[in-house]
Amino acid sequence: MPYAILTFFGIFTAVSLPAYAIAPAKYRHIVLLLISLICAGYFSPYGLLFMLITIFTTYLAGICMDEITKRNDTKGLEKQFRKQIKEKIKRKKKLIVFCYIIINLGILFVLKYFKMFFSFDIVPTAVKMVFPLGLSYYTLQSLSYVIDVFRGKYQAERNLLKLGLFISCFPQLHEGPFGRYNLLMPQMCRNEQIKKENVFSGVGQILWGLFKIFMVANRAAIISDEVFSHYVRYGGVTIVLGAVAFTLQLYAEFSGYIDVAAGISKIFGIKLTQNFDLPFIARDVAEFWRRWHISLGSWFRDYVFYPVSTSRWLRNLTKKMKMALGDFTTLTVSLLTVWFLTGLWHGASIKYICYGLYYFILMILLHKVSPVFSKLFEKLKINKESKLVILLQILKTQFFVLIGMLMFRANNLEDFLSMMKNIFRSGETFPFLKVLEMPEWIVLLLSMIVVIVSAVIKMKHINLEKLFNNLTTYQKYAVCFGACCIIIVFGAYGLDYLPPDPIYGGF
Amino acid sequence: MERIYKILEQIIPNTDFRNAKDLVDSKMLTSLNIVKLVSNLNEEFDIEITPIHLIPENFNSVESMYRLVQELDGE
Repeated sequence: MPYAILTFFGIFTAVSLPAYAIAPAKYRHIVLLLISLICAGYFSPYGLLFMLITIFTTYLAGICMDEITKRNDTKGLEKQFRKQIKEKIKRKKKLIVFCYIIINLGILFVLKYFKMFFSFDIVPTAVKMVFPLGLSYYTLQSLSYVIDVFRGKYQAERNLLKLGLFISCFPQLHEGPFGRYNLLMPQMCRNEQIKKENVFSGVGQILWGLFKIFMVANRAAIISDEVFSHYVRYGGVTIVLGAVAFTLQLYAEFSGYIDVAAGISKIFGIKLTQNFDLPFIARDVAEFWRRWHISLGSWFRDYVFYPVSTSRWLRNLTKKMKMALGDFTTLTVSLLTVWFLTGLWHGASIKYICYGLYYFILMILLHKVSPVFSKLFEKLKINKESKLVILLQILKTQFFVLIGMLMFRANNLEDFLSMMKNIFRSGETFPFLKVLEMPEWIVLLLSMIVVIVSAVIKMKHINLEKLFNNLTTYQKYAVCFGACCIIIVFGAYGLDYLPPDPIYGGF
Repeated sequence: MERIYKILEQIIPNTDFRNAKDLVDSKMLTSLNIVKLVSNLNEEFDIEITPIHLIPENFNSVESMYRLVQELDGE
């Protein structure tokens, strides 16, 4: 049931709200933790056990590292001894992180990637019972906490329940975004009473998310499903439009679910990390990934890209090379690691690994070609900031993004290559247009206009949330009621629609 | 500080680094540039910048980079 998650998020929020409001301030985080664990247990009873293992191991790893640091105080010692003790502490902490990674990435690997290497059939319901809700999200979020404690960025959390909430907080479990401990924990432990303005603001964001899911994503899904399922019939423009429809579906759905999660969290006074920042105005693919799934990109930057690129072994490897070549080797090795893992994170198949490697090649090309273009622009006296140049750069970026989306959505690599070939031949277009009736097309186009207008408003640095918050209570009720009516009347759901599975759900 | 300016000008030519106070926040210095910068700073000053130091506050201005280099040089 693809809508189960939305329905139950609604139910869990509705149940937890009065319980949270009635509970004494110091126990409110425990209410949220209980609701989160019940939510995780409801969707995957056995998976909850794996989640609890992650919570306990994360707690223990943090505490052990803290204790090692405290027991080996270096204050007042001579520089030479200080360095020796620091090295000793580092070695011990590294061992803890290593054990932690073996256990938790082991669980992730076995549950998510096992079937990629060993082909066997498992009953889908059995997988659902064992696969924890949001496994990839909470594993990486916990790992970021452990690495930060290892680096000494902050002290370990001494309260198991608070750490448990950080890892399992239910709105984030379905599609993220990844949160950082130092940003989330102070908000989670503020135990703030439910405030009217937070409720309105949260409900507003939830409705905006539902608008994107039901008005745009679910209709765009019908178009992309038709094109990707019967691509043999189609050619040229239709396949490109199918890729555009999928891009639209993915953006509307993913950002929609994130808005729902952020809205629920906001009601409890928790502000989640921003996950999208107008990705379709990016001028190059690197900028696209700084604007798209931001929490994933920044996670890989901080916990894979920086550690690999500044590692001693890579430094030693590149030291003997000339400076320029050394830099290039560092970047190549670091980017290859990041994009290989990014691809693997997206799914357990060769297709996703190729998807990651596609972006690796684009990043390397961008790195090499950008300075050449800059010099060319300078020579030809072309203003890089002119509107025409910016527009062409945006179109170029979206061209590469579309090819990536085509690979991401295609059933497998063979289908992707066939679709790429089909782009250059003619094919039917009529059945593709018929998948939606005329009123459906009109609703989809109008909804898209609303999404585009909201993006333009954001580009003008106008804060829609602030505008909404400044309305009077009655005006807020009217806006929420109007939005509800629009989604209920015009939303794509119910018997006539086959609900698509959330693309980023179940990761 | 002049040595840092030289390194920065090699990485991103024709940029006013002397008055910039938000090199990372304004995306002028991307993660790729930071990695190149770190590699050059390590080489030039014989220091070891590790991921814990790779936060925007340490790279937003040349002054903050200079402070980081001094801090690591003293360790």
